[in-house]
Amino acid sequence: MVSSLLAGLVVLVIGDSHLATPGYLITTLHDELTQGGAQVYSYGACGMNAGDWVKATKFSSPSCNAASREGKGPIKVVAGAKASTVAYADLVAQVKPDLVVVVIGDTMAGYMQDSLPKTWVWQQVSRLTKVIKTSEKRCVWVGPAWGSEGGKYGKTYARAQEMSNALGEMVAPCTYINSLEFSKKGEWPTIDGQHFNAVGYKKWGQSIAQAIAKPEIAGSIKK
Amino acid sequence: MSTLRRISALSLSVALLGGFAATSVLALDATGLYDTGPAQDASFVRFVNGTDEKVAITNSKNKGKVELSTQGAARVSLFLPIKAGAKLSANVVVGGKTLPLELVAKPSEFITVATVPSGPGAFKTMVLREQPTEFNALRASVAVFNFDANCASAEVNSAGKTDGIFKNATSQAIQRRAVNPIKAQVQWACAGKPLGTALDMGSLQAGERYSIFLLPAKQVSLAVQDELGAGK
Repeated sequence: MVSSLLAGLVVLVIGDSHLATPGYLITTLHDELTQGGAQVYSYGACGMNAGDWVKATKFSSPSCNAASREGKGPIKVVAGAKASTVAYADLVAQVKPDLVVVVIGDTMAGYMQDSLPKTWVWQQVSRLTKVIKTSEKRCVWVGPAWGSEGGKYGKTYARAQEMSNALGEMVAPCTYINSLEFSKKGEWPTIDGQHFNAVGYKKWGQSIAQAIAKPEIAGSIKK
Repeated sequence: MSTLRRISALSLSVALLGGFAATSVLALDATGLYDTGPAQDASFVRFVNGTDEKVAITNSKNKGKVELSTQGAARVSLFLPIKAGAKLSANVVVGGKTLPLELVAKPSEFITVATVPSGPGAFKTMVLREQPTEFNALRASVAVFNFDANCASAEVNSAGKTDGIFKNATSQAIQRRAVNPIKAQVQWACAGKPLGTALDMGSLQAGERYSIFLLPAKQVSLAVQDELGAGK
């Protein structure tokens, strides 16, 4: 159970594939925050990048899903072919969050490429942080976890570290939550190198919620 | 803030983007689930008018056009997305002359193309390239671009001072540094002599990028906040 500092907070969570399938963070992180007393709204869009949340954007990879969940309601899954992101400004107007949580990292890390596309990552991140800044909402940005090497997405520990370092530099005014600090390399089992099994998502969700519930984040928000 | 007026006055034909924009060819993974980034990093090109004439840059492929006036920030275009590795062919039209321009960008490169005088009634283009590695959102990033061949080594000072915020800003070179987001008023100097007027950059914003130009035109200096054009 996370601390009571979450009690009464309205939390908007947006993210990539890690929030787009039941059993992933849309289950575990959402539940942890809810159990701490927050009213949570989660939206996941598989394969989408940070800049895709500035305006409603149709999926570039229709073979994977979008998902949403409001409070203690069920997870609603929409096939990617029919899905789009929701514009950040629209979500904020609808949810009126005290805290915004962004979970986007793996989709932008260029795991199949020889080098991190850092300029492009900055372009994506800054598109979203600009509108977050305009909204004047407290926010945190959750970076990638270790996963495991050799999976079908080509994820490596070195690139995960490089991506995490880059996001840590770029995401202000959001506070960066470094998921690499939550586990040892390969400690949380994955199904494909990038996505975790139920145990992994449980631990990742708990770790993120605990980080959010700390006084320097949850305790610093004016309700 | 007059020198930081946004480029609303800039007559920019977005049609140009069609020819310049990176297509972000994405490498799908073997299962076709989704990709984790573009095939190559983003690259950008922008144009600067360092003359006392209007300048137009046309892309012969799609008739796209960027027009630059001689007024303040309207001398500078947005950073337009460009596909790395692909040849960009354009014509720069200035003072009745047409200058052919060909460029190939590297991944992650920001290219600045200035049109400057090269003699009475003559013009040339100068190209400065940068591959930044730091994108610190807690600080402002300020760069100086010296396009004035008459000042081989310039400096930028706080207005009214000789504190050398940027020293030895050599002609045809870029210097960049991260600074705290504070109010800034700066002035170029060449050989210790102030050039032009002080540039009021207003309150620098954390995470934003700024360019300070030394140009050989009558209005010798200019400061703008960098902005990216549309693109994937």
